[in-house]
Amino acid sequence: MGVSTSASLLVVFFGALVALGAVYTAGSNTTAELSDAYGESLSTQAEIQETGLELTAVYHEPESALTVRADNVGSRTLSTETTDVLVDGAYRPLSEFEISTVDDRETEVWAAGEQLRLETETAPPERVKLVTERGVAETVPVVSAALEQHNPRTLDETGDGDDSTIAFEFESSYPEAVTLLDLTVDEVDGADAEEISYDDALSEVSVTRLETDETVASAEGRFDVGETIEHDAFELGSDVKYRIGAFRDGDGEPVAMPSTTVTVTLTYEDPAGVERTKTFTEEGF
Amino acid sequence: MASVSVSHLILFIASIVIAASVAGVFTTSVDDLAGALDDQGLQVSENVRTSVQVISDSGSNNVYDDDEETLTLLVKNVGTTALDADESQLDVLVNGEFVTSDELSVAALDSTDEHTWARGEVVEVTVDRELAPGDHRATVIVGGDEERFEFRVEP
Repeated sequence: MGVSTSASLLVVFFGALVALGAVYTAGSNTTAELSDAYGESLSTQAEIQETGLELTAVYHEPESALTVRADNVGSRTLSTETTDVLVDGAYRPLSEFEISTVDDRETEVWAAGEQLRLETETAPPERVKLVTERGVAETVPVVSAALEQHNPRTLDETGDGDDSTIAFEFESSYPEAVTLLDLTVDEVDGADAEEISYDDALSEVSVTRLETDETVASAEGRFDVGETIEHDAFELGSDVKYRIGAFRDGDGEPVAMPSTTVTVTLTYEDPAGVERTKTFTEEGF
Repeated sequence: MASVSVSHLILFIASIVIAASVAGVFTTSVDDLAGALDDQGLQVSENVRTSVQVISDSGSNNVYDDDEETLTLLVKNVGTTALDADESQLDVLVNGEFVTSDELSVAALDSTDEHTWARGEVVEVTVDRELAPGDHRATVIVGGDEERFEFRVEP
């Protein structure tokens, strides 16, 4: 009897041992799996807490360009590859942006303290949303910024009775000051335009601030139509008045500018220091 | 004396058979339990790893298309596991009503593989549903992760 009991107990004990082994394996696998999953979840939570974004979106009307600037103000390095942008709620892959740089470098690594700049040509949008890999998002309204010219007229600066100088006023709707760098008279067309010599066509550009009548920039010499005329760089804080002229013919005589159409391109630096151009045509001087 | 030995042998064999049966049943049951525990553990860890977020801009006019009568949700995989970019991966409720797979379409955006919804990638979920002007809510359920999205339909 004693042997039977011992042998049976041994069999049952062995069975229990095998079963416990299976339970232990399953339990330890499950625990490891769950602890990995919760570890990843916690690290995701930490990543979210360490991610910070500051977003601005400006629409440059002269170039029909939308610029999105996002500062990584968190303490984590982000990836541009998994960053998503919605323009007016529509998904816009980063590959569709003509410019996609981090601190002027074409890279996917977007480190803490660096700025992601995205730029594309588009119709004027209203809102932009940027979402990081972990879903940290920020939405901002698009600020529309423009440079506008108005009040075109002609002036007689030479005193010979011909209005041979053109003048117009210029203002900026950028939230911060832009810097004007140079200008080009691209084309002159109209009644007396045929008389204008395209070589050495004009002799002076001057810009004065309307409020104070102070001259902020000027350039003197002989300039061709189509030539880039560099002047002192100045910040366009308040409205300014441009005087361009006097336009002259091949003999150096002033040409009357009323009824002409003039196309001018101004080069400026936006508040972020990016060089942009504004081209406009004024007619009916 | 021989009869005592035989009866002992019979009892011995019987006790071993019974013990083996008990141990067998016990082992099988515990094995099943261990298998279930394993499966459940995998399922729970998958659920913990799965996380999605509706990134659509509720303040824009691009959520509901009045002409096509379609609701478009952009859903991003913000979890730590890759998912499948197809209708079977997610359930959608619009104003509490289940959206059947006929009314639902899922497309991966900007993805190298159109069938995979990798980490950090976005899928476009389109729901054919007529919605009246006013406030609405959509719920997207992926692997136990439930995301609610509220939006307006302008008149």
